[in-house]
Amino acid sequence: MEITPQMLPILILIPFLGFIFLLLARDDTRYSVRNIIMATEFIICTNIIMLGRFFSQLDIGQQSVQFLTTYKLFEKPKIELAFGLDVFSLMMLVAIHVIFLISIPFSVKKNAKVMSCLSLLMLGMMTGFLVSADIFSFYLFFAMPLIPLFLQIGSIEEVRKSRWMYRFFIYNFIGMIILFLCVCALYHYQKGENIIFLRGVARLRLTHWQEYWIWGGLFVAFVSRIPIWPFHYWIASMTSAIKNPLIFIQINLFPLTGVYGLIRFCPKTVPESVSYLLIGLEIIAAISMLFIAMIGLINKDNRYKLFSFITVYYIIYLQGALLPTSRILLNIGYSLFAFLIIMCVLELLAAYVREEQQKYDLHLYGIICNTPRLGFLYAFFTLSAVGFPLSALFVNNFVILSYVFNYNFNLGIMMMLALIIASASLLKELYLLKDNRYVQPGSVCIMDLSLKAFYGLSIIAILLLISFFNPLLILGV
Amino acid sequence: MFISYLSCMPEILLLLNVIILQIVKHLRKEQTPKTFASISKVFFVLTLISSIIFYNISFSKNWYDNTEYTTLIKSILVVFVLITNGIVCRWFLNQNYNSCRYYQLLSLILIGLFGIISCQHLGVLMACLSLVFVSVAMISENNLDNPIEKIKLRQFNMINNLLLILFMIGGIALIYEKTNTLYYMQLQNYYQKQDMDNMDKLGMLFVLVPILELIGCVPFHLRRLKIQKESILPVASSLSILLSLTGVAFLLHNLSQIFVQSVEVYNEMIFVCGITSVIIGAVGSSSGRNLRQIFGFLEVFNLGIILLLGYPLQNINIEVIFSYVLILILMLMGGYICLYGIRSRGNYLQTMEDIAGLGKVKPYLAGSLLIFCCSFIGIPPFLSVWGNFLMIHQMLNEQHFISLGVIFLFLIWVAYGILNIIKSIYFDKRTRNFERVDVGVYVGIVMTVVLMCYGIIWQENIMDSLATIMRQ
Amino acid sequence: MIIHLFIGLLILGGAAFSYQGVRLQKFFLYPAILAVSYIGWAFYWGVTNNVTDFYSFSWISSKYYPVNLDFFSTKEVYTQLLTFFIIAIMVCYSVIWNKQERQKLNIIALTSLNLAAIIMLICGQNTLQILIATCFLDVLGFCTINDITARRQYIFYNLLADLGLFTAFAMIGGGNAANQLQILDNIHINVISLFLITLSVMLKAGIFPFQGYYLQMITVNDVRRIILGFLSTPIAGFFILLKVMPLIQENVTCLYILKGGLILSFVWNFFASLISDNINGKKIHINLVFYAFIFWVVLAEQGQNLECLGKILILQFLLNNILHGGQKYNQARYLAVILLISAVVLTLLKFSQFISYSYLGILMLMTGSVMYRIHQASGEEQDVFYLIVGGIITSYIINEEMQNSYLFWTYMASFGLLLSGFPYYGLSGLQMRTTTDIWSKLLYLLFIAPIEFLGRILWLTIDFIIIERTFLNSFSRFYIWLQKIFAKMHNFSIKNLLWYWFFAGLLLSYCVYGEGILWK
Repeated sequence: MEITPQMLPILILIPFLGFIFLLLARDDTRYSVRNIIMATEFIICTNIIMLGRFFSQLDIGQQSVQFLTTYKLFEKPKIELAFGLDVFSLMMLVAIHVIFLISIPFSVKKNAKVMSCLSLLMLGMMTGFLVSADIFSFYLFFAMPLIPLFLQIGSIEEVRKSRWMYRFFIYNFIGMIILFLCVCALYHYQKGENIIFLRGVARLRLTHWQEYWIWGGLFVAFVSRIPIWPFHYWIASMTSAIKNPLIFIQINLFPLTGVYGLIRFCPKTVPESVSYLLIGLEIIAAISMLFIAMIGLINKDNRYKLFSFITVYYIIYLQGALLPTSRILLNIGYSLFAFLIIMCVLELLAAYVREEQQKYDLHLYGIICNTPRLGFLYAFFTLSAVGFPLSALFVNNFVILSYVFNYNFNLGIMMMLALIIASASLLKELYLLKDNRYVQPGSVCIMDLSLKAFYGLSIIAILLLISFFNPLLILGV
Repeated sequence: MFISYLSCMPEILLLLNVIILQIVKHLRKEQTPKTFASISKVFFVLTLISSIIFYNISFSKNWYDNTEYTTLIKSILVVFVLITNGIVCRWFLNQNYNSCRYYQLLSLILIGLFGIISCQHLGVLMACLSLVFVSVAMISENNLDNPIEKIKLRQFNMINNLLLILFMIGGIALIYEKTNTLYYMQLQNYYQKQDMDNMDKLGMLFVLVPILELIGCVPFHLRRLKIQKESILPVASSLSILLSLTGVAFLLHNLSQIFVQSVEVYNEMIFVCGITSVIIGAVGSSSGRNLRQIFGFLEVFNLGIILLLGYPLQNINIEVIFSYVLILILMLMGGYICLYGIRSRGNYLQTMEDIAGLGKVKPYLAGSLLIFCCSFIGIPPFLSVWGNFLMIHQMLNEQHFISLGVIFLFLIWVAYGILNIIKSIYFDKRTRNFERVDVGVYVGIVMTVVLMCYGIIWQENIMDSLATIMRQ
Repeated sequence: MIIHLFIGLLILGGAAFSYQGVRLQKFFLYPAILAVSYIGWAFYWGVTNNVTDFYSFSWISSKYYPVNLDFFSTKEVYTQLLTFFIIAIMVCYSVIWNKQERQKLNIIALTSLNLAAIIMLICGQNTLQILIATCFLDVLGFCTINDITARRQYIFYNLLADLGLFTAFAMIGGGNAANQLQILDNIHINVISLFLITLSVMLKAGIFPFQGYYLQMITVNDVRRIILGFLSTPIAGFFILLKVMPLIQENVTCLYILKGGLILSFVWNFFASLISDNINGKKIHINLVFYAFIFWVVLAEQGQNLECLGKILILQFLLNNILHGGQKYNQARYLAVILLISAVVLTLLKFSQFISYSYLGILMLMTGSVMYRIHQASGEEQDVFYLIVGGIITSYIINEEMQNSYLFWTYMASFGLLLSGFPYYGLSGLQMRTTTDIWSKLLYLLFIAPIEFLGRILWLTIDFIIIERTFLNSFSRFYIWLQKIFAKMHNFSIKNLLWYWFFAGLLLSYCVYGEGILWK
């Protein structure tokens, strides 16, 4: 089947159609959960196959957007939407689809229909976000995931009681408003343009004050998606209160929208009027990284540790995106690809351990000593996360950090410190789970991962190992 | 001549409706709310048809003029009433109330509103406004069970109406004293030639006051909110839209045409009212627990935006404002229709505590309410995105950065209020059983959604049509 | 040639790892041993036939940061690899009879993969390849250790070392867009990078004060400890030092730090081995002294005489194998030890005297201490007959080669001390905890504890008190207060209505009479 650019919106539509299909499906209490999971997985696999087809026809060497297609949205004022793909966005799409594919069977147990519907909605919106090639469609898909995510996190009692979900929504809502204002301003000041491509934003001619406000607004809007200091406290508290791994993962996919936005919008040379804002951003980013990494180290909750690890990495990617060079864009993409998958699997495994721990009322010390499959996977993914050469994370992070050191040595040092601390806290967690000093022989033990789950996650581990050599190999390129 | 009298057919039909309803009430033994609803429906349909047919025929251009613009407004008013007619009728049936008085007063209000839009004489305007305010006061007490509340509402309405009438009379008196005329055309000519003094300004502003009261913006929002909170649901839902739409339509088109050269007198008033409406509307929507009150404050917030879009009056982009108004109407209509579906033990619920857990048992209704609530705060992909885009475009054109900043700052407060509703629907523990939702409610919701989709897909047609009509 | 060996070892290691059971492993063990033998034979064939080739795999083909994976079959590489091949094959064969180790196939796998990683490390001509090989060795080391406490310390220390190397190479690569080792000689390298590389090397080799994690390997069995000692991270440290030595030697501070660490390593581990009661602990200390020695030699000899170092490594490996606790053959063990040490002496002739005789003296005393402990544990009666016989024979052999060399006299002196019983009675009576190292605790107190403390303080003061309780709470209270006022303003009383009308009146007045006061 020949892939044409007009087929690109199908990538976005498939999850939405899946959402509607599941929404209208009958509630059958006997087979409900299994059927829903199978249907959801089928929809995601369909999209992955489509992605594979797109990848097969993509020109890897070309940096610009391919499969470009435009659609008229409004006539008055004239606005057109554009969709397109490049290697970077395709890698992100594959990563996100794989994440949803492996998370749903692990996480969807209670309220299967609602969870699956909302997950498919999120997937569709994230897909739309990543294939957007103009600023208006970018904004639409930047803002749309807010409500489905709010509905999911609101289902958690602890989050509801502490009213963190309000803060989460308002915080992201502010970013959304600012982005909308900037997008409208860009359309306004570029009279006659009915479409403004993402890459074209940097080339627009604006006055000093226009640049100041618009670029400042864009930075604030994208950075608002990342839990930087001083907004990290309640975001971290909320994240660590979330027990459902799928919701945890989706919340931690949100910062990706900020990083991706900066990568797409940010020009190689930031306008002079806002260059000092970058300095401020660097300082805040550095403080945030260290702060969050240190707090992750002292915190005993492993979700908090994972959150701190994820945040540190996102800030590293953010800094990489802001460097005055486009050379490392693909490196950021490859690294993000591996990072997202590792983050997802780690959370799934951690959630499994927590669930088993609660079921058998055991202590966390040495809980995975007698579970070889679980222990192996946990160790593998933790070691990949801390930066050992088991995935694309290793070499691409190396390249990113090299450029950071070249650009700002002190920032590079802070990054490494934060990385070391975050890695240490993850390893501390691994040690805790494997510490068998307090395990009495013959005592009750948790169930090991099922063979199906083990083989599934092992395939993911193999994919990560392949990505270490070349992430594009996974897609047969 | 006969044809020119026919131009008053819509008003005549409405008046006939009042009379016939009265006759039926007295003569017919078997009366149900549906009886009066059906009769009214017929007359409303005929009104609509006659409005459209006689869209450019005037009774007398000096007194009462029909144009495409007035026809548009009248059509929207009647269409709105028709869409909600079925649900309103069902409400009366469920509550076992008599709907005759409601439909009569509604018809009178419509007559008054039609008159406001079409009249070409300040005296007629005053008469129509008085009719509207008195009818509003009467309809707001309709079917209220609590006598104490009824009395308080009556007192409130009386004082408010009194003040309004005083201002209207004062304004007209001041204007007449200066100009010796109350015809719009003559006033237009007068104000084109003469310089304005303080008395002129005062007169103009006094005339503006009842219009602002009609719109329902700050500081004239209190009565409207009280009615929305305390009156019966059909009254709350219809008045909010009918009155505001007419007020905005009159302000931006008629009033600005009358005092076209001097319309900048209104600018400061409109600006201050707009800003305060935005602020108070936002704060009110985030702090209330009563859904109708919240919708009321949301309306105030959006009316504030509309007023700010209308500032300064000499430079308005009427297509943008009307597009925004239409979007507001759709959102409010959708929201109120959802309220018609939330019932428990025969009572229509209206507080957040009442609707707790609605999402678990009525997912489609809850989903619809969610959609309309999200529309209020501009979350894509709903129609409000387009409205907000137009609004920002217009404000940037006029360089109203402060207004823009205030609007979006307080939009965050509005979002907080909307979150409370969503939380209540989906996450709070259900405390009561909800009754079956009437089919009419779903039909109404679907129609609203279809209209919203139409607005997105064919927005070019809407804008072009509006442009053509507004330029008349 | 080398690339084929590398791939063969990878396949063998992967295949051997895939079977984790114990019951049927004998079916797979012998084919695996045969495969190892074949690879060994292939290596030998390559060496003897002087097969030279060069293979470069373009891994990252980016024009901005290209990275190749290089594999050389040259004489130099063969020389460096020979030692490790020998050790690896001996480990693989010894595992057949080793009753302590149940997962024999695992050992074969770990050995093969470690060897493959060492090949990658030795052939590495760019910083990234070195880094990858080092990290692979760490991961394999992590898999090798089967005790959780030892694993924990191991991975923490090596993570720090790897991240230090990572940082250093990233700094170098970023600043100069270069990763080839040849280019690095000619460009300016940041002092911090060199410092980090030095620290990493010290961490890898367990040089003072970073020996803590090695001491935890007391609980690991002999075979695994040997793999960790001779085919793992210390070797990585060694080769990293070898490759970046020209850079480190240019910086005096780093050189002093390294040399200081080496000297302290000598001293500390020497006394620790004498004091320690545990045989494995003593052996670990001996190995740590050994690593310090070979590092010193590399620095002193500027990377020359690597063949001799290889020989010493094999001898040390054999020494480790012989020195294990048992009930039998202790006398024969004495003889073997003496012979080994004499071989060491002969090899040490190649190096400068001071290093050699100080190392020899320490080694002999430490070995004696271990022998004494083994003897004590076995319960046999002390019999120095074999010791004396062995001493006489070896003295004769050595004397033939050395004659009046300081080394010879050091040997004799040490031997005398052995006979006198110094290592037996000297410090071995002291009670010493052998499972923990105070330096680890000190490092934890100096570096980790302050970070944790700072983290707690920051979380409590800034996050909790300032942001959450002060700022956000104040905002919430302000909002609640605002709501109360608002509720009062909108209680729909007539009073409020009149107030609003009053406000409207004021506004009207302003519009009429106050025009231009606020704005035009």
